[in-house]
Amino acid sequence: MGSENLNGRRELTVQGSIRKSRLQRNQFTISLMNEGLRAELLTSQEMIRIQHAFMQILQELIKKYTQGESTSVTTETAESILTSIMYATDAYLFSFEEPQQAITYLKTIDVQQIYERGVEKVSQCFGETKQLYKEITANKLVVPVDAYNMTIDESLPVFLRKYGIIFDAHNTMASIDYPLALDDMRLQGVFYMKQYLERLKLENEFCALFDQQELLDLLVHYGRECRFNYRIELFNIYELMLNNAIFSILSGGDPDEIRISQSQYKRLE
Amino acid sequence: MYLSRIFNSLNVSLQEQYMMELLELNEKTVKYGLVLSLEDVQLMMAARSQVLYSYGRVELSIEVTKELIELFSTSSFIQQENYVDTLNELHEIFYYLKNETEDRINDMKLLDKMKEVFEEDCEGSLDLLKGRLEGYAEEFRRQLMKKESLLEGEDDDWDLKI
Repeated sequence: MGSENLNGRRELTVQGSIRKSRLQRNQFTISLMNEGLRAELLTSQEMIRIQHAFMQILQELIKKYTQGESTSVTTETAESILTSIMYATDAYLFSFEEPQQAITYLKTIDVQQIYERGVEKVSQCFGETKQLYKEITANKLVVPVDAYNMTIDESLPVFLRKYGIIFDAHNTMASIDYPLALDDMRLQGVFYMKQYLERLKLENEFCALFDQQELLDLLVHYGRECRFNYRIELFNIYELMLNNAIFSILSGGDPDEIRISQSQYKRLE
Repeated sequence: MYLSRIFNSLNVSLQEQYMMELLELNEKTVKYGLVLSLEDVQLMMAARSQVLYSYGRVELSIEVTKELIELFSTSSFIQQENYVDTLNELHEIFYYLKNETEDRINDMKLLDKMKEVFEEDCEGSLDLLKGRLEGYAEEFRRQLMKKESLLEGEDDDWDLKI
């Protein structure tokens, strides 16, 4: 795991020493530093220097946050800003293929610069997320499903309007009700939102391949079958369509026939 | 989380400078018969750290302490015997108020309010001051909630600019 680059003396202690399983996506920098210290890739002096640098960034951001109106903030505010700083730093350090490279950066590059590059990454991701949102609204399914419509029309705009790259990068401040078929909820902030929109876009594109009237009919049947009001229930439209398309193929139909006839159903029974 | 203490320890190198700055204020306050010794300043700074910790606040500078000294030293209700104790109490009231007004009032405005109530309404009584300012903070929060609930309605009408 990259240990071949190191000299022979260190190799004994370092070989395979950064255990990727110990690195956490949500607290990448902190887990990386802890792992680096354990593996003796970082000394405790270097740890102190890096921590001190983060505290300096925090001090500067608190000043910006209060806009000179106050010289103090609550611990919660300071913690939140620090989490935002770490989120941006994680964004940059996580982009390295090998964690050892990220440690080398921490050791050799000014932490302020690493943070700034992280902010650029977050900002870039936010731009892509906004673009994705535009594409989604342009190709939105016309379905009377509240959670789907409210998530796209109301919750996502709130996120895009309120998201703060500097002070709130880690926050996912939107109530996203519509469940995806596959959703990585371990992510936070704009990286979560981007993956949510990417997957939602794929789901929409899939659903748009079918006859839209058949899709509406399917929703009505599904509601009847499950004995619930499909307009207000939380379920995933793509999953429903996919199941029916697969069912259609298995019962000798075409994949775009999502309406299963009685004869098809019997065939499978 | 120990951010409050971490910040204090980060500022260790600044502590000495802070002490000097506070002692220099004696030149201004001596004409009101008020002077802080080095030991007074050390004790006051220790009490201030404790207040910050217990109220869960992170402080970046010494400006508030300096302003408290400059503003309140002119008061005829403060004597040398109770000077340090009064400053300690004032620190506590100030940071308590910062929390209670949800950081929505800037430092200078809050300090001026404290001085005004201390002089005119409470005639130097710190207990009265605390009570009056509790009422002030409560009213401030009520007004804030009212304002925010009005703004929330408007917020929903904003157009999305992307």
